[in-house]
Amino acid sequence: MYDLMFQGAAHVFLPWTLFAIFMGVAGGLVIGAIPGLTSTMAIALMVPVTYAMPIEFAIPLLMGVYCGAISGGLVGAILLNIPGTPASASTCLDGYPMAAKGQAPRALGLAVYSSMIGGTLSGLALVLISPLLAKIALTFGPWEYFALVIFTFSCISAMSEKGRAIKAFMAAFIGLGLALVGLDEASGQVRMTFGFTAFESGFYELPALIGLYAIPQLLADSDDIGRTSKILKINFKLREFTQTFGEVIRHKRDLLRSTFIGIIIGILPGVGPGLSNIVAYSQAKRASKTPEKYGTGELAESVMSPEAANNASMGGALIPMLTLGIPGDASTLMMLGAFMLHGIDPGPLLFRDHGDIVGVVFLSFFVAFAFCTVIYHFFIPLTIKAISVPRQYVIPVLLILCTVGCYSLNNRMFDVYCFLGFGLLGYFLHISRVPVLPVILGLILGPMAEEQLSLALAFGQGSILPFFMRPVSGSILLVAFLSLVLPPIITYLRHKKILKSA
Amino acid sequence: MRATDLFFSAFYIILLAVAGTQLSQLSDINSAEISSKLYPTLVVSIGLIMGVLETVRVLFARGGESLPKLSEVWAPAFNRRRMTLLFLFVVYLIAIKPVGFLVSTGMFCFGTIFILSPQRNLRVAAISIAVSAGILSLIYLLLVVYLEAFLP
Repeated sequence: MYDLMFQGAAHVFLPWTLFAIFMGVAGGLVIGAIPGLTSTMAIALMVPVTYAMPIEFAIPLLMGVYCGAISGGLVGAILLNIPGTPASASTCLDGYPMAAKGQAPRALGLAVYSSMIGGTLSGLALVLISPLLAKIALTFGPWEYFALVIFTFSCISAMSEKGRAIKAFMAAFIGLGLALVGLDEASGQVRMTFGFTAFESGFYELPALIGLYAIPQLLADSDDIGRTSKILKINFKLREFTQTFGEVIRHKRDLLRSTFIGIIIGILPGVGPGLSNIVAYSQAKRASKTPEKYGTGELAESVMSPEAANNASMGGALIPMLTLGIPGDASTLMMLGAFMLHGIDPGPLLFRDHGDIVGVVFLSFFVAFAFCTVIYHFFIPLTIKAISVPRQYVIPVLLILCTVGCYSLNNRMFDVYCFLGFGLLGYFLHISRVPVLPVILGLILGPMAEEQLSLALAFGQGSILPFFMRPVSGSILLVAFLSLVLPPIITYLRHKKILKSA
Repeated sequence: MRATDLFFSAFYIILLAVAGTQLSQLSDINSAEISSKLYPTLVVSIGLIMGVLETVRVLFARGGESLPKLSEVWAPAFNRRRMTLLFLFVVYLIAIKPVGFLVSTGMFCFGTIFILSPQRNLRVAAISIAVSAGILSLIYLLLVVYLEAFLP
């Protein structure tokens, strides 16, 4: 582990790399603070720009954007009562009432310090768990990898809204179907192209990712044009802000619980900060001696818990992405796209073949959080200004930047048209309330699933029994099966119990 | 919402059925141990089964009265502002090749800001021009100077 860190330090602690992380954090904070613009969008905008950069420079920049954008959501949540990102949805519940009482610096301080502590602790989890998991993953065969893909889809399905589980699976199959388009490397034949030569190279991941996320989001955001959101006016005093650090440390139990929840939820494939902040808030309320005070903006822990959890999810989400090549959430999915753009496939071999890159990820994660803390101390008034930029200026600029990003990947208009096509698909899914994430996961994990299934069947001489007989793959499939079957059974039994008692 | 769900299911089933028509065009290599049709067939057929299951579930599900109606879901999705933005964006993408990247980008940026602004006056026009000029400079620096890309 130390050698990874030393290798990473040689790349990260260079003036230009540190400057890139700083700029990434600042840009991420601004985008994350603007309600409706998520961390996924922030990374999506930056990934194509990094195309011409060396990976040792590109990854720190993107880590800065990632950390800044997730953290930036708290400003909008506390001062506008609109979360900048879904990761800060629960911060509104107590952060805004606290700020409305004239305690905005306190609310911001609690959120910032708990975010930074949660994020740093999740960074430690990332550094400690990833190498171990990568070692274990090196022993995995194609059966285990295929089982992991199944597990990823079952996780998304189990975590989806009530009654939408099958829809999440259907979305995954749309992604898997789209991944089939193009050249089949095993047989050397083109498939699903409908005779169009442009489709023969398949769909490039990044225009698909950017289109599915950015276009529906920006179309929906256009509803906010002309709406005047009431930003709470604050008299920001640095001393008042820094004094909250002691208050955060006094609530270490809530902080550690929320951080733990965040890391665990982050590790689960397909779900991330969007869920962890809600779970952490509800768990903090359940554990509180004064749950009736939740929602009033009196308690420090009610602001701290969701923020510690959402930042803790970031380190957690990077663990499966780095060690298994399976993203923990939509933002790490974009990061995965960035790695692939630079010709590096995350997975257990990453630790063996590109140890320096792993070290860069680890260290830039910590450095990004350190910069994030510094920026919050001195640039909060500037961040507040960012959230009041009228939406009619932001939307076309972001659409143009996305278009430029897609074009610059290969210098071809086909990618731009794919971006539009995937955007329209994403918008249709958005209207139908079908999650977009499974489509992207299907698109990215489809080739891996196909390759591993073919290898597993070839090694097993056509038998599917090893999938169930091998201990690790069998266990993963069992957990996947239980995660799908148990929730409806439990709901049914609960429903029956309620009917009986009535 | 039930109607929206059914609409999605119909779209999904048609999509996979169309994909299914391409399966017959795949051929196997004699030396291959695993059929190249296996995985695509699995994806399409399991996907179709999912679609049919979901359609049946939606058709027979109870308690759908509390869910929003089709018009309530689709009306905001097709409101004037969203559709104007989408229309302008599609026109922009189509115009890139014949008109040129920088010209179409400048026109799209200026036009979209001006058209979408709640008030249209000289001040808004001036801001639109400034934003367009800024974004054009950024793109020029990024694409032409930094990435050395050829603009269409």
